[in-house]
Amino acid sequence: MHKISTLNPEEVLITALKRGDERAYSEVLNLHKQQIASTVIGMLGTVPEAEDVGQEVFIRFFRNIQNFKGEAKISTYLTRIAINLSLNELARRKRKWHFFYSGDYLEEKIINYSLTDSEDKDERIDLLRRAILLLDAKYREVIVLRTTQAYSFKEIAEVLKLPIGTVLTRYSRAQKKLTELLNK
Amino acid sequence: MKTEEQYHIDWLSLKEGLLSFEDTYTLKEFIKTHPKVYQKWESCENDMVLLSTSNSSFSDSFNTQILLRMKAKRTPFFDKPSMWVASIGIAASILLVLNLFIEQNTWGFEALLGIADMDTNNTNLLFYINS
Repeated sequence: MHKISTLNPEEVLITALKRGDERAYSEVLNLHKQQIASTVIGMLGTVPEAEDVGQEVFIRFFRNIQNFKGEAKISTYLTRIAINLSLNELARRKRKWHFFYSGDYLEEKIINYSLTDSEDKDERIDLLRRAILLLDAKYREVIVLRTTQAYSFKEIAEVLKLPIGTVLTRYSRAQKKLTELLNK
Repeated sequence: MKTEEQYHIDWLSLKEGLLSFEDTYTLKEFIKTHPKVYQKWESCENDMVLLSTSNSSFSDSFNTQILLRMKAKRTPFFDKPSMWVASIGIAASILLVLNLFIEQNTWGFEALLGIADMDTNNTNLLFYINS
């Protein structure tokens, strides 16, 4: 008598990944590539390193798949890796550029850009993205997760392993800072 | 007395049903008396909604590059050439030690160092090796 499988599709996918099935790798990439691109590019901006970080996210996930217990969804796990690697990249970039560019320089760039005060949707999005890149990493990650993943505050708290109150406070402060930057 | 930031957090919490009835009531009172603050919050949220409509993507070769990296075997710490070098080194050192024991005709730590039978008359380490 055949045993009826009670595995959900994600568990089936994880089992295939653990077997090293190449089709399962492609499936995960196709399902989550867009989400990881939005997170990493949201955190780092449109820079060549974003693609490298994106690749590293999946490589780490695949290489550590044997340790994946399935306590969180694949998307949550990947997002967590993406945020951590992006934070590492930001820290590396900060060390590298600290002596060359000051925050004032970057702020000046966004202010000059905002002078156009355009109503055009794409320009507004571009302006907002640039402003987000001026936020501290702890504020940036909350805004990025909220806007690119459409995560609820509870989900953001789960991904970042923070209390929900802290997430709400950071989100509120991030919005305040964005308003200040855009209205300067 | 709550600050504007606390009311803003309450307003954000309300959107996800995380606010108590009492706090909802006081928030609504605050909004009534501070319409400009409320407009500012709404404007910020509209920007967030606008941002959520935009998409970012990686290059077309993204999947292929990852699959290639996954296929490429990771270089083991001890690859074949380094194992050969290590084996030859170990074999040579064993022969050297055996030679020391035979030359000095004794088995012991001193023979290992080449100083067996060293005394005040003979302090030359190379004496035993050369003799």
